[in-house]
Amino acid sequence: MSDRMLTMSEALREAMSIALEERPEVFILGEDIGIYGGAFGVTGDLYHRFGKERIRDTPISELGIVGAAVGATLSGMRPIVEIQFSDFTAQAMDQIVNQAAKIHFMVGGGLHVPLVLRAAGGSGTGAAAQHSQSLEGWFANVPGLKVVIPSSPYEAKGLLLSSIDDPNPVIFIEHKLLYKIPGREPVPEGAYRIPLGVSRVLREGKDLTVVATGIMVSRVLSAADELDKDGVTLTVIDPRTISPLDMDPVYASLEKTGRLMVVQEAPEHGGFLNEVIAKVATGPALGHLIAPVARLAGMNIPIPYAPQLEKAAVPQIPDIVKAAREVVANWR
Amino acid sequence: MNKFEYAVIMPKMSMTMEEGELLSIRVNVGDAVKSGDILFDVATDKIDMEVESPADGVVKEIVGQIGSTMAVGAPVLVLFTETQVMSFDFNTPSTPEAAIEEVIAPEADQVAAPEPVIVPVVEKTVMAVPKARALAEHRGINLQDIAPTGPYGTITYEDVNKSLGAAPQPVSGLESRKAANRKKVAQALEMTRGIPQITLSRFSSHTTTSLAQGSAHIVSTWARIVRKNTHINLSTHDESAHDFVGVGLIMESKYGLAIPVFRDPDLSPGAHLQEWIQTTRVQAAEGKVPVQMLSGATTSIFDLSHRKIASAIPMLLPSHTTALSVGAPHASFGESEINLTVDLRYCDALEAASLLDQLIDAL
Repeated sequence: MSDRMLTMSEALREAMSIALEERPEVFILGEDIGIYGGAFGVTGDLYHRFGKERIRDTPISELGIVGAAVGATLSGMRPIVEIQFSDFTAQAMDQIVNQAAKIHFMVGGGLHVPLVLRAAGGSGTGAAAQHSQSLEGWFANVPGLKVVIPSSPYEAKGLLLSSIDDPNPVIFIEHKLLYKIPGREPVPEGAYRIPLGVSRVLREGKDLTVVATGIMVSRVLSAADELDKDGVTLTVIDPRTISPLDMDPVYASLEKTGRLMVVQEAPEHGGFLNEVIAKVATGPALGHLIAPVARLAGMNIPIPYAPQLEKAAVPQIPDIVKAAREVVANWR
Repeated sequence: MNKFEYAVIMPKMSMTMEEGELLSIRVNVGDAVKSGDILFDVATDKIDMEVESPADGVVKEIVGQIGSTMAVGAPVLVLFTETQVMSFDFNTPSTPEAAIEEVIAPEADQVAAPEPVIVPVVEKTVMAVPKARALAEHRGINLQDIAPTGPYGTITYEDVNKSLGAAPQPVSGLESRKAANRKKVAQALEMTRGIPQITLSRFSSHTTTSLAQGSAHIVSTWARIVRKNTHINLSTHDESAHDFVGVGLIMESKYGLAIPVFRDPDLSPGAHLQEWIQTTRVQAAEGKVPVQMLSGATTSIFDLSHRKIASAIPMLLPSHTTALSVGAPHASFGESEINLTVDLRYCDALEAASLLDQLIDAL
């Protein structure tokens, strides 16, 4: 049993390194991922270890990068694309949505697009409105794409290896703030795979079920620790992949807690976690609810540049504590 | 303002009554009537009766034809009343509401007819969380009976859960048996309500002897009188004379009233009867009156001499031709009141007076 504590950058790099060693058809392409080591240092020394054929620096053209990768998949390769900021996927949307997601279906299943598109998402780095968005909801709304959001280094490594194995295009969204902070649990050496489409119950409580993804998972866990002192205990569930989505642990948990809160950084309006709420409202667990669903999400505004406003625009630990306390106190 | 319409119907005056003759109508359309005013007279083969107005109001319409025979529950006339009249004629077969509909079918020339006020049962939307709803349904609780404490006036899960404690306790087996027993006695008396009867009363100074023996003295003395007067010891069914005397003695039981029947008590030696009654009292208290003592009464005695009750008007039970009650001795002059009710079909008032005299003299 390993007790290595890695950052998410290190864990991701390890996963890519394993994949590069395991499969000759795996290669990475993106902007500044070679000699520079990636905008957030994720690819690091891979260029030096695997060479420029497999760690390919590209021109500044997201459409070109994704287009090249989609083409490569059709000739038997397994490319990993790194998009510096997930905001830039907007440039590559035709390749992602109309090509990568559709090809398999347009040719009667004759072709696969085993593409992994890694992209840095989220706010908190002072990168302002065009470099701070949480766009996972866009992709979750496109059938044919899988969408993965790791919440820790351990998850990141296991999920990335599974994503690379997957024969379908996978959008893999990494929160920038998680790159540099050590995870809450050790990352085993060597290869391990976390299956896509399986939610993880991180802790179990009696009062409130919280569903959160990415950076919000660690914030919810911190909030849960604080609420423990008041005797309010939380069940925390990380779906890990939002497409496909595994709701069973949520339903099972609601049977015990009767209360649901969803937390996401993306703007509330049209956000992905609304899908979780909709599934509860239309699914087998509705009858267990003893409270209206609480929803904590980013404001419906572009992420501000001013640090205080940037922080205020998305849920923080005290917001989660307050909202959880209220829903538990008001609905008994 | 007279806001409500109420149909006054052919009343059900006894358990067996199915129709009645409308003898007369004492009011006219437009008359203002007070609660208790006589509206019309009704006759059956057993009894004539005046029917009173159930509330203050105005006679709106007269439906019944004088001299006609009308079914129980048929509307005789319609009132506009200020207050809503609750009908508690529990055996009325047709509902008054249905009757109203029949008689107030809209007519073109009814210009100023007030709108009939319909009081609908409003199903107010109840706000409740899903689990509270499920729990309420599971436990058979009406959500409308629960005060919401949640935000937006919503019933919370806890509200339903707590209301389980506050809700009326389910009726225990004992309580339901008591209620059933009460209903049975009431129904029995209801059946004899139409019987023509008279009650006479006289003071008696028998008390000291009688009290010492419990009810035995009065039971055996009355049984002897009944045995002698064969015209009051007969079957109300076919008027054949009984060859026994059955005295129903009203007692307290676990389930309310019990009326065990003492057959030929006058033929038992005094001490034996005294013990018999005492044993039966204990059995009744436990709700275990012997089955053979549950029928065959021709008369009944309600002995209140051990309570502080001065008197009670005895009521005939089905197939009884007489009923007797004995009150407690008066505090200052020591005498107690004995009441005798007789069925006038078998015994007239003067004969009844003579029976009462015979009893008290014997005591």
